[in-house]
Amino acid sequence: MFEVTTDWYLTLSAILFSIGFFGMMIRKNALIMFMCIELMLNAVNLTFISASKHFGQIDGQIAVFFVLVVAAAEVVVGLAIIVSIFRKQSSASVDVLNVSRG
Amino acid sequence: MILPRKSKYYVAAFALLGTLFSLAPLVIQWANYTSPIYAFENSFVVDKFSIILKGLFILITYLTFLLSINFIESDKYYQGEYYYLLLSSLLGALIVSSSRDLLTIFIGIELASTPMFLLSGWKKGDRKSNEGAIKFFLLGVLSASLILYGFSLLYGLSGKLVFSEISSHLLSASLANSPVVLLSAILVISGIGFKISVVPFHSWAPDTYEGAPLPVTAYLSVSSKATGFVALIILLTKVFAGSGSSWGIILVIISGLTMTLGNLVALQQNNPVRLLAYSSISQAGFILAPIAISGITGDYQDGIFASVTYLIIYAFMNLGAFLSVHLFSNYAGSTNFYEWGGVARKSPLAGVLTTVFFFSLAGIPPLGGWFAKFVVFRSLLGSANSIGIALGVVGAINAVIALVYYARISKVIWMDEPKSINEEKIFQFENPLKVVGVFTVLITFVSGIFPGIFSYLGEVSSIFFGN
Repeated sequence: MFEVTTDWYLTLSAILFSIGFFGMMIRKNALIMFMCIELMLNAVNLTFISASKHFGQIDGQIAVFFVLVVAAAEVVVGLAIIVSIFRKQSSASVDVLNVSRG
Repeated sequence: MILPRKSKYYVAAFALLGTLFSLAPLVIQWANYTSPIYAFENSFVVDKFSIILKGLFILITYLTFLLSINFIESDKYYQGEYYYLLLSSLLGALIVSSSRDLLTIFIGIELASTPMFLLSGWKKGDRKSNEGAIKFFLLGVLSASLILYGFSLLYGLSGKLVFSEISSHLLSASLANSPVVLLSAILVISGIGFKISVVPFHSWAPDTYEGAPLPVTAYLSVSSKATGFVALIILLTKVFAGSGSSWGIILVIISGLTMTLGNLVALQQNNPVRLLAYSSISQAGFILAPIAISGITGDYQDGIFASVTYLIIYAFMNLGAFLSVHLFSNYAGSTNFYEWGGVARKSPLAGVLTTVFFFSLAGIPPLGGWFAKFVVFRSLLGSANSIGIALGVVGAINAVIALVYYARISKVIWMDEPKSINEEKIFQFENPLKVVGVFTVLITFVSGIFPGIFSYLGEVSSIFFGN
């Protein structure tokens, strides 16, 4: 029978991180890019938790709380900026952001 | 936030006084220093290295406040929040310079950069400012998640968060050159590469610098960059010290590319802020070079000494350069410096300051920039390593190219004929800005003429590396 080991979780988090990273590279909508970032951060959380479970200690789980708090702070800042752009041009696509060149 | 609009200058005065007084504990710590003090289970340290860098960060923030006072009052900016956010960013920088574990350094980096996302979009109605802010934000959080994934891999390997325990675990299990550690090092380097804007992670810098209010740009190009470098130095030497030969090669390539590309693009700019953005990208290549070589040779002390010296001198001369751009673009009302013909005749003081800063950035003796370049080249050529010498040659060629565009601005403001003579217009040079100019120019001269004051840094970096 299969036994779900730590490696499985680490592989899953690596896959999640890659999905987030490539999503970040190819998508053009600022909100979707933002969700990709969240996916990457949660992949990090999964790594921390599974390693913490593997070593039988609590440090990694505490690290997750810090990551969550930082991610929440970044959501606040990011959405503020996106809203301020949306007011100007009613689109959240980064393609229209082409004023600066050179 | 609660004060009426007219009395907002209390906030500025309070922030200025607070920043100045926060230097006092540093002086006391320096005077009573005996050995590094560890706190919070070895995750926070007070040693001479961190005291010097804290002093640097506090001084930079103080000068940025002085730059900001008139600028922030002159337009419809939010004033109270402005000072609060800059102070938060300062706190982050201070935490980074003392941190000795993965979580502390991550919180420090984020605390230093998150307020800057907001500040770079401080001109709310301006499309360029919004665009710069969103680019900076998206790449900033991308870099944060890259750094974090690198950290989580390290934790997964060692089960430790404190640097000393991680590196001793990596050494004892002879994991220092395992693929996972290298992947983690690459993730951390590319994440911090965004913060210090080295090629190929530099694309946000010119747009963000152009859109942000000018004092914020000055702060970004000096303090944010310094924070990134300090985090990089701490991580590479405290955690990845055993795998130096691998990340050394990567950093050498990045450093060479950064110097060259930054310079070549800066040559074609006519907007002074974009010019300074590309010039600061190329300067980042110079700061990175000694660290890169020290990874290959293993002589971290010398590398840290050269990088930190360059970083300190660069900080002051670059702040000064942004001050002069601020003065002249205000007066000329143009963001194309080819139209600044003869503006220096209007205010010789500002003209002389500008010439000093730009020549110092170019590395002309006896100014500070010359000593900074000298230290870097000494470290590169003294490494007696063919890669180091090759990087030194690339740096020397770049130093010559850089002279072209630095000298061009000085030539335009002194020698070109004025395009439109407007005798009525008064050249505004407010007192706080004069303080910034005189202070930075003093540091630029003193560090070039009496470089002996930096020799103590050699001792300091040995303390840093010894513990």
